[in-house]
Parts: sequence; C-alpha cells; structure tokens
Amino acid sequence: MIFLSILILIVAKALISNNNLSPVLFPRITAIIFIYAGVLSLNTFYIQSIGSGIGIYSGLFHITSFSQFIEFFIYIIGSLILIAWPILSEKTIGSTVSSTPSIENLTSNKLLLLDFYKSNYFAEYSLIIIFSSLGASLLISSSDLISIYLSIELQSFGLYILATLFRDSESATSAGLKYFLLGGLSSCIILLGCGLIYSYTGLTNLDSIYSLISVSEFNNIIQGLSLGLTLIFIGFLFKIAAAPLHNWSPDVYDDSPTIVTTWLTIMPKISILFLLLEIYTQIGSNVYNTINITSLLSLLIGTIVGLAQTKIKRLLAYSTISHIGFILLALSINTEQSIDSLIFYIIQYTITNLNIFLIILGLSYIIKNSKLHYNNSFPVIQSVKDIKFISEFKGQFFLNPLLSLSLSICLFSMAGMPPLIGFFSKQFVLYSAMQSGYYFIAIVAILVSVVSASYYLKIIRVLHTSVENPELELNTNSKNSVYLPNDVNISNISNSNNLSFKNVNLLTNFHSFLISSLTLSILLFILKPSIILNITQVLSLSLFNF
Amino acid sequence: MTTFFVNILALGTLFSSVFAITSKNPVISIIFVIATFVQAAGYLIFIGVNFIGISYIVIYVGAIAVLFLFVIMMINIKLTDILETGNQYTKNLPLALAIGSLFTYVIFTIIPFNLNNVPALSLISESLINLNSLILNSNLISKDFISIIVNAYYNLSLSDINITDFTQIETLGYSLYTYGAIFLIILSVILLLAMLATIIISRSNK
Repeated sequence: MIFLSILILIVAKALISNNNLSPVLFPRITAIIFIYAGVLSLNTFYIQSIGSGIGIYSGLFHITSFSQFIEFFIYIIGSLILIAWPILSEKTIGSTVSSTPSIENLTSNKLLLLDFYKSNYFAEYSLIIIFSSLGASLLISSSDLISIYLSIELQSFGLYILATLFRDSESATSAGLKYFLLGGLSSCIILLGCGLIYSYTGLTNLDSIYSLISVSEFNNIIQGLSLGLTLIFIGFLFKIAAAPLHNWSPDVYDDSPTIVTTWLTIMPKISILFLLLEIYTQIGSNVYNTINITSLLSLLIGTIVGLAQTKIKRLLAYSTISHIGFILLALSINTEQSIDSLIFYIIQYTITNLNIFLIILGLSYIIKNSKLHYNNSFPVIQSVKDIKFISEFKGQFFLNPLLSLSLSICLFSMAGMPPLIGFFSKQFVLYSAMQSGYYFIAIVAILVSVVSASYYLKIIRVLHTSVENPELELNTNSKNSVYLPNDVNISNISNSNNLSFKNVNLLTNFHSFLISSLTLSILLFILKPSIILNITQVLSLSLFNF
Repeated sequence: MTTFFVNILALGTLFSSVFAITSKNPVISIIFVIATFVQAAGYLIFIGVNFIGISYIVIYVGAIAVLFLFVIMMINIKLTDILETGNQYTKNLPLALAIGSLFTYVIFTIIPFNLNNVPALSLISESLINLNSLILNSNLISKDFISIIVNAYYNLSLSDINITDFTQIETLGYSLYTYGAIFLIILSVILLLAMLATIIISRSNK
C-alpha cells in the first residue's frame, strides 16, 4: 500500500508540474494514505492464522499481531503529524484577501503567499515521510539481519533528507549533514555487529539464531554472538540517542525546523525501540548490562544537562533522552509487567510529545505573525520562523490562554504530575522495577524525575509570568479585545486572530482540534484508563506467551 | 605462497587506508583510496571470492573514486584549510589511543587468541614445517589459507568450499532472485529514495 502510493505520488509530482494540483494537497493525500494503511494493518487481526506470527517473503519478515499493532500506531501518528502542516486552501486565501481593505496590501499579501506555496516543501516532505515510514514498518516486522539493516537504512536515509529539506537555511543544512555523518557511523556499527554474528554462527535469520543460542554449548559462538549483538544494540542506541551516545541529538533537533523535528523526535524511535524489544525478549541476557548502564546514564544526563538549556528544542531533546532512559529501564527488566509498562510508556510519550510539538508550532505561527503585525503596518507572511528560546514564550498565557494552558498540561504530564497520563506511565515502570528488585535505579529514576520537573516548571513559569517589556505591553493592551479568553474553543481564538489581523493565520482548524483532543486525552486518561491499558497488556502477553 | 600474498595485501590495505586519511593533499589521498580498493579486491580474489573482488574494482575504482577525483579537481579546495584541520587530528591522539586499546582489549578477551589465528605467524611456523618435510623428503604440506583460519575453530568449511565450485555469479543470482527477492525490492526503493533526494536537495527552488 505504502509502496504503491510512493510510486503514485512520484508520478503525480512529476506529471503535474504546471500547477494543476496544488502542492498543498500532498500532505493531505499522504495523511489519508497513512490512515488507510493503518486500517489495513489493523485489518490483519481478523486473519485467524496470524496468531503466532507468519513469516512472509521467504521468512525474511515476520508478521505478528504485535508488529501489526505497532505498524498501525506508527501510521496513525504519522498521519496526525502530517495533518498538522500549516495548510491554507485557495479559498481561505481568497477570503482573507478580499476582506483586506487596501489594494496594495492585497497584492503584496497574495504574492508573498503564493511564494510560500510555490516552495515545494509540502510535496517533498510528505513523499520522504512515506519512504521513511515504509522503512519503519519494514523494520518492525523484519526477522533477518539483512532485512533489519536494509530497512533501518531506508528509514534513516529518509530522515537525513528530511533534516536537510529546508535547504535555504544554513542551520538545517548543518543539522542534516551532522545527522547524516553520525547516522552513517551508527549504521556501520550495526553492520559490523551483523557481520560478527554471521561470521560466528553462519546464520542471518533471527529465529535460527535464537534457537542456536538456546541449544549451543560452544562458548566461542556465544561470545562472538554477544559481541555482535552488543555492537548492534550500540548502533541502535546511537540512533535513538540514548545517553552516552546522545551528543548529536540536541544539535540536530535544535537546528532543524520545528516541523521536521516533530517527525525526528517521535517516529524513528518508536520503530527502533520495538525492534529492540523483540530482539531483547528473545536473547536479552547477552546485552543486559549495556541496556542497564545506558538507561541509568540517560536518566542522569538527560535531566542534569537539560537543566542548563535555554533553547526550547534543546530542552525537549534532553527530556527525550531522560524519557528514553525510563523506556530502557523498562526494557532491561524484561518481565511481562515491565514490557506492558514499556509499551504504555512509548504510546503515552508519543502522544504527549506530539502534542507539545503541535502546540509549539501553533504558538510560533501566532507569535511570529503577531510580531510581524506589530512591526509593520501591513501583514506580511515571511517564511515562518520557529521559536528558538524559551524566553519567547513569555507572557503567552495572557495572549493565548488555551494554547498555553494545554502546553502546561502536557509539560506537567511529562514531569509526571499525578492525575495526568505521564504519571501513570512512570508509576508502572517504577512499580515493575521495584517488583524485580531494581531498587537503586528506581530511586535514581524518582530523583531524576523530580529534578526534571523543575525544568518543565521553568517553561510553565515563563509562560505564565506577564511581560515586563513596556512596548509589548502596550501592544497587548491595544489588542486585548482580540485575545480575550471568552471563546470556548482554541479554533475560535485562531479564527478571531484571523479576522482581527487581516492576516493569514497558518493555524488550521484541524490543528487546533488535534491539540485540544490530544490534551483532553492526556487529561482525562484517568477516567477511562482501560482502553490503552488493555491494549498494552494484551500485547505484552502475546509477546511472551506465543 | 598465496598466504604470503594475502598477508602482504592485507597489510597494504591497512597502510594505504591510513595514508588516505592522513595525507594532506586530497588528490593523493584519493589515489591512496584507489590503492586501498585495488588491494582489497586482490585480497578478496586471492581468498576465493572472485566476483565480489572484481565488482570492487569495477564499482569503487571505476566509478566512485574517479567521481571523487573529478569533484576534487572541480571544487578547488585551499590547502591551508586542510592543513589546519590536520593539526586538530593530533590533539585527540591520547583519547584515540585509549579508546583503541580498550576496544582491542575487549575484542581479545572475547575472541580467544592463539598463534594459529595470526596468518603471518602461522606462515613462519608452516615454512618451518615445510623445511622439516624437505629434510624428510616427504611431500610438501600445502594448506589453504581459509582452511587454516576455519580449522582453528571448527569444521564448517566443507560447504563453503563447495559453494566456490559453482560459478559465483550463478550462486549469487540464484539466492538473490529467489530467496532474497524482497531484498532486491527494498534496495531498489532505497535507490529510488537516493535519486529523489539528490533531485530534491540540489534542485533550485525557482
């Protein structure tokens, strides 16, 4: 499905060069493709024989109900990210343009907008995203060393290009180059591990390697295999930026544009983590120490270094590292309960992180647009700039109350405040750690999450303190009527922005709908927790008992 | 005799790759890269992997290295910049030494080290044995290089040797187009992505 749609989209992009099809439509089409593919992969649950897994393509890929669910999850999250693009159809452009009073404004506005659209980033972004998620879905279901390597390459090639996509900006190019070089290094390490395993066992199929390990008495084979496995795991940990190997991630995430960072922080990690889970549950004892040390280090480094950050995306990158530490802790324990908590943690973290990035995107559109409006007398859309520093959030609570409220809800959830979803995931991980006797690392994790709460609180404090800058205050006063929080929906706010500024707001209704529903799901998880919990429990049971 | 050649080639590969990194003139380092690939191809051919060896020469030397040469001649790098970065290499030398020695230590603790593992040493001992046999007027014991390495561990060499009896391209083709057909498809998708990516990155926006 995905493969076919890649071909179709390429052909469509090549044929329609004379603006018959607006490039705006590409992300939407891709989102629909993703949803459809997700439903298809969910549909395979109805096939009876899938129970214990089917090997397809001469056993090189292995489809289980587990991998199918993860595929479904990846596709749905991917479609959500894609829908969040700043999309304007021709109609809204027309309406806003017609509502602007002066003619010069009208023409300049329209021209600049068209410039924004002519930039083909839309189409390219969605096309590369399809490639990358094809790699991700292959990676989850692969059960052979070669197919693992090929699909990780397919996935990460797409990501390197994604990071360089906005090639007009210097920082994005440097981020992409850095990502490419270090990602290539980690792929080399993975390949070295695969080579070592093959040279010691003569096998590439994971299933045969599992069975060889379980019966083998040659010490040589086991040793070489554990060396190779360690190298493979190190390569994968490099790719998900776990602690001793994390140095590239803050730079890359900070330098690439926010809309790309959303994809980079969320998607590749899901697939790699679930692949690690599948390997680890089978032959985990060989790399137990690696995972354990990595989880401890990433818990510590992610929080302590994160305290000193002033840029929002660097901070989020470090918080990602500390969350990876929690996930790896759950992975290293490797009981049914901990795997359950691992899956739940990943799902919860993905939702929360996605929501935070969506809100940051939305805020950045609003802030930058309004600042432009303050500076110039007529509205101009320049290339949309991202929020870089935390201090730019200052006083946003008084300007965009609902958006900043939901941002603070998400941050509280990440910090692990009790009624929110983030608390439960941390609690499950720690509970399973305590049950299996990991007292020390559990205490470290608790301390670390308390410390990390402080930097989330820092953002929230910045959000909710009023602005001291007198010039801006004047502006807020003058625009106070616009921003009054008398609307129920966030979409209403964005609409009112739209009307008052005569400015084309890049925030779509769906974007705000998405933010509100994700925030509600984070907030109201406690009322009906059984939906997600049942899924994760059944999945972890199926992983162990089949 | 083949063992000797293989050793020489392996040593040459290592040295020329080191020279390729450390040499200051980019053209010379490219030539060292070419030398590395040719020696590696010779190594592969000597140990019996003919097809891969030849394709090394065809692909790496014939296409990629020549492309590198062209690019380097086109972009006209200033030598002084490279010299400055060359000074920075030696700054981290202690760190590199520490990490390298630790890594070798780990490797050697895992891989059991004995004299049979090192072909250069075994060559000497083997020639000693040969000298013995010359004195004793018995037949010269000729051992294949691969079998020395493999037999040091355990005997699975039979199937490997049998495979080389076929035409190698035939074997590769059979397994690639039947068993691993999906690999071919994934590889083609990766190539498609690479083509698309170069177009996207290098095309001008207007």
